[in-house]
Amino acid sequence: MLKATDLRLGYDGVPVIFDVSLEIHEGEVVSIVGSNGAGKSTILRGLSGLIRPMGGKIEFMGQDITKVPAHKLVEMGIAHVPEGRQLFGKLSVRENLMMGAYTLKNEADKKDALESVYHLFPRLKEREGQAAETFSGGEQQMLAIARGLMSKPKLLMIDEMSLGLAPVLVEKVMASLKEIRATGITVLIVEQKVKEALELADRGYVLATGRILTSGTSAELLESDIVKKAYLGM
Amino acid sequence: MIGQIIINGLLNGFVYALVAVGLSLTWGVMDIVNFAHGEFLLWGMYGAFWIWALIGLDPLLSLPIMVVLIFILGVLVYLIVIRRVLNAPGLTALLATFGLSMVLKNLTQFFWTANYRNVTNPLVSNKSLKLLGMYIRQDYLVAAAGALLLTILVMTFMDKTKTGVAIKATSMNKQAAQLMGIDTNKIYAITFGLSGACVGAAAALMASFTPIYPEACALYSTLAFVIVALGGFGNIKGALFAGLIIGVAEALGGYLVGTSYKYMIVFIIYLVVIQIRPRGLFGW
Repeated sequence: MLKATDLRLGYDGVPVIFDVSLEIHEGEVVSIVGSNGAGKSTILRGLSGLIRPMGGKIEFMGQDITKVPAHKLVEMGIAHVPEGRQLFGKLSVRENLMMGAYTLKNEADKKDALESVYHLFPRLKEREGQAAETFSGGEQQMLAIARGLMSKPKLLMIDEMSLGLAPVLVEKVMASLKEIRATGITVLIVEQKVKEALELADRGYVLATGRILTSGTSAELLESDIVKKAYLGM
Repeated sequence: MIGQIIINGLLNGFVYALVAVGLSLTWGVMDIVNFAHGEFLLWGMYGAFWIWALIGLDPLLSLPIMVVLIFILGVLVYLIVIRRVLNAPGLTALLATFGLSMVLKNLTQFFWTANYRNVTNPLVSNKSLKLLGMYIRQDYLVAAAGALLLTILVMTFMDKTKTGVAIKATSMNKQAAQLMGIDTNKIYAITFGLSGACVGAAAALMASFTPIYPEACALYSTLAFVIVALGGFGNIKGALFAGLIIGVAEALGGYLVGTSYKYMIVFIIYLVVIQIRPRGLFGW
């Protein structure tokens, strides 16, 4: 579904991601794990078109999207839930969600999308008139994911959804991913919480200082020495 | 007497507010300080004047035309000038709009000389209505009512339409807006156009009773900056109320302290408020 080849990404001409190749198949949950500063978020920013690759190629559903800007990729079916949620703080929950549905053309689709995210996160419906900035961290994360789902994406990419959340909320948000997956959406998650992310995903890539260290099925990675030593403290 | 002064101030205030709403859109949303905002207003007034002079259409009736024309001017200015400096350091954009303001003002003088122009025999006369013991000039009243109506229209647009909410979303978080599929470049162009449309309308409302010459809009432009800062950046309701406050302060100051000092009063109010509320009265 999504294939990146020799991707090189950076800021102001300075590369931070070096020749990363990865592939995501339809229906999968894939995770990119690694410690803080490894370049995980940069990869997502490159895949969603927020930054233009300095080298390499990205294909989505067989099309070359290397130079397609972010706003067009949303229409093509890629949703990116950015790190730190990046909600529209002054806008209400409902307005945030409707912005998520910005690319949907007909009203029936929007209504349908709204109903399905309200079904997934009933809490949002209860508080749809409230300004997003008044929400707690966990609620904001739910809203950010819901907003990402509003564009009816084929691929949902979520950056550090556990960041700043209490463990009980992390579990809750991660559980919602299982439901999202069940609706047929392919999911790419980027996480610092290596164990949790790999347990949720089918496959994973381990990233360190801008390069892929190793990759494989989650079971393989959880058993590998590299992951055990460096990330699980075993 | 005080009642009369306040009424006069309010009538001016509504027009100030509409000009400020236009400025507030670009300043608040795009963080671009558009020094050429006053020249947009100026071109709107000349536009209204020439339509009247050449085909005899009253400025009030040419309002829709001026809205469209200055909207287009705004979009063009964005595409030709602003877009190129948007990602440059802040000072670059500032200097670009400052230069633009010089160019537009001098072009005005080049095309139409520095002479004063006046619309004579306008549709609404400068006669006064007597209401509750106060005199209200008809042309001022119509301009104020028109300005209020258009300000409310812009507010409704921002709150209720998809594009309006997208403009607000873009102002809050540009990258997140892009991730929603919003073409922020297009949103910026529309915002600049809308900013122009506000002053285009204000120009048409004022053209019948304001002498039109290349420096005519300097005052409106300065006051618009004060009003936006006072009301809170990007806050349209704030600009409306701040416009009224400035209008009344100007009128009361002129009456109580003396006409030559009325702007001193205005700026003192501004300075005091900014000390207490740096983000303005209704600022985020």
